[in-house]
Amino acid sequence: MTFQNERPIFQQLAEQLEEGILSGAYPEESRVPSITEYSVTYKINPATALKGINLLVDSGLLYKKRGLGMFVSTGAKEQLKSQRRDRFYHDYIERLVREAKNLGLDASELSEMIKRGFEDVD
Amino acid sequence: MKTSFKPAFRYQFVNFLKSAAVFYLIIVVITTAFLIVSVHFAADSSMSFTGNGNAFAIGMFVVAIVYIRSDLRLCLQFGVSRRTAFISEILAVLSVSAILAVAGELLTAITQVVVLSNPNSFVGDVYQLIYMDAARVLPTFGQHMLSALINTGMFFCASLIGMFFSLLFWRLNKLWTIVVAIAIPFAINGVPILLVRLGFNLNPFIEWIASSPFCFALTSLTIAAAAALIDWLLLRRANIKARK
Amino acid sequence: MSIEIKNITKDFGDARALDDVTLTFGDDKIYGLLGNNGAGKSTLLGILTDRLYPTKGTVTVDGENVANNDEALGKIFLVAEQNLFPEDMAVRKAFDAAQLFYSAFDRVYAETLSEKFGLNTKKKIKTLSTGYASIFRLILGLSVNTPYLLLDEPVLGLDAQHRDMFYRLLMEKYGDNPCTIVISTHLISEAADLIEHAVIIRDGRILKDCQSEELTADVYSVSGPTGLVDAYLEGKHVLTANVLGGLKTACVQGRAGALPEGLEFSGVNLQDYFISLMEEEDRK
Repeated sequence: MTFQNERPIFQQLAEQLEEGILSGAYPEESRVPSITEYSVTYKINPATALKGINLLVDSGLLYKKRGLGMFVSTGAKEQLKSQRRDRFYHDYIERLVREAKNLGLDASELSEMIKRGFEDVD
Repeated sequence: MKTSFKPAFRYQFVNFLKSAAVFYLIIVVITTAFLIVSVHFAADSSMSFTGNGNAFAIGMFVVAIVYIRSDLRLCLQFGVSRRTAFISEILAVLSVSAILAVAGELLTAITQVVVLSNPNSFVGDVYQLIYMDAARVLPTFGQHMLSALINTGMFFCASLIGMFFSLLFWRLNKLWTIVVAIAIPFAINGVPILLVRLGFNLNPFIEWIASSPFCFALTSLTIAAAAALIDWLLLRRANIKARK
Repeated sequence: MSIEIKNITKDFGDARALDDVTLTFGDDKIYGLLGNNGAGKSTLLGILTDRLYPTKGTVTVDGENVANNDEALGKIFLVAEQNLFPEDMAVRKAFDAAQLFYSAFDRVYAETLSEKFGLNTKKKIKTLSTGYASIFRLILGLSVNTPYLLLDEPVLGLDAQHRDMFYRLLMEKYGDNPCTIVISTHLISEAADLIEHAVIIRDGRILKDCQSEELTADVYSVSGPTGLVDAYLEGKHVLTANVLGGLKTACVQGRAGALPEGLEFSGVNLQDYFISLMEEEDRK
């Protein structure tokens, strides 16, 4: 029995795609790899790859060009950034605070650490 | 329903023909040797050669034993049902038997003509032995045809009987294989003797066969049909092993 | 368009290898036939392809019974460990024969794959090593393009690199020419991501037969202090549990509802689920 958080593969695929869009690896209006390419590269069933891609299609980040493949929507980068901002509180802050409380840190100690972080981290 | 008969037949036929051709060449070599000896070296002594038919029959027997299993396995791998594989095997064997019989007959005919110069030599085959009285007369074309017919029947039967042994030993486990292997020579020798002891007179039957080549052909056909039936029954429910 | 297996039972003398098995393989999906050695996987595949006779039950391909049916049997290609090729046949002769029997056989692709894997097509099949004998049969399977492709322990004897190559080629072929594929294996973790539908078989009986997503969605792992975990597990369908010191981990069938404090939850992958299921069956 392992202790990892087993996030479904299609979800990991979707996240990877999102990273690619944010980082510019998949520019807007460019084609992302096909289902078959994903299934070959990651050795996963195409249905899984399709599910991951459809997550982005459903949220409007990707769209389908008939016979050509899946393309990154215009404005996808901005859309993702604002999505992530909205999720930042839940994804990072909540966990940060929970861990801090576990360790017995209070709000001001945490703020100090955060300020230090802004100085130390590039 | 579409069947895979054509590819199965093509595959099996070509295999059989290739092996049969090898046998044929060996026989040709032997016959040629006989020819040379008979015509040039042993013109005074008596020599006879009637081996073609029997040699080919034994050849077909052996080849059939070897190929039936290997062909069935390959057909199984390539999605051909047992029934189709078996039927095409029979037809392939029949075709090769006919081809060999005709080719062999040609060889015999040529040999007979060449050897005519030596009055002490006799070349013939099963047909000549049984159905021709004057041993020194060149058979007519019609008689050659009948000879080829008889040989076809012989080769065909030999093949089917070969298949029988192959399939039988496939179905039997080790113990029974040994039992049967020992029993067969006893049976072959013992059964006719037993029949005679019991009062069955086989002579009329033998005379009947010797009366006409068509009787011979009919007998071979019957034996072939019986062998084919038994072969099918053995094959139907066999677990085809891959002992390779 | 499917293979319908109805109430198949197979006895070998007194031993029952398959017990009333009913399954469907079709719709161009990839199926995993998952089970331990001796569970009956190879027996089932043998029955589908006329290599073995069922004691009871029927198999139909696209509505037609397979018995004595070339058309039905010609739609299925089985890649298994048994070598059914003649003793002295060379690989390329086998390709010639395949061309004869399968109209959709892609000879060029087969030659390309042989090169990729480093398979010498002039070699006689019986002289190939275990790994290369497997590779040869896999190449055939990938090249015949039948509507149904059955793979019985396909990567037996293959080194890691070749296994990797094979899985990728299989996905590529599936993407380019979809067909129904059944991967029968005891290597659950390797097959887990490739398959869409899982059939779990044990002692000749089908334990599970559904989309692999459903299987893994319906099980989770919970861990934490033993006391808390035991309290939580009250009334739940526990598959297995492990205790290490004061920490208990349990694999639970069902969906995680309310999540109490102090407990860690996570998903369970197919292999771990399979193991837990087997352990539960062992206890029964």
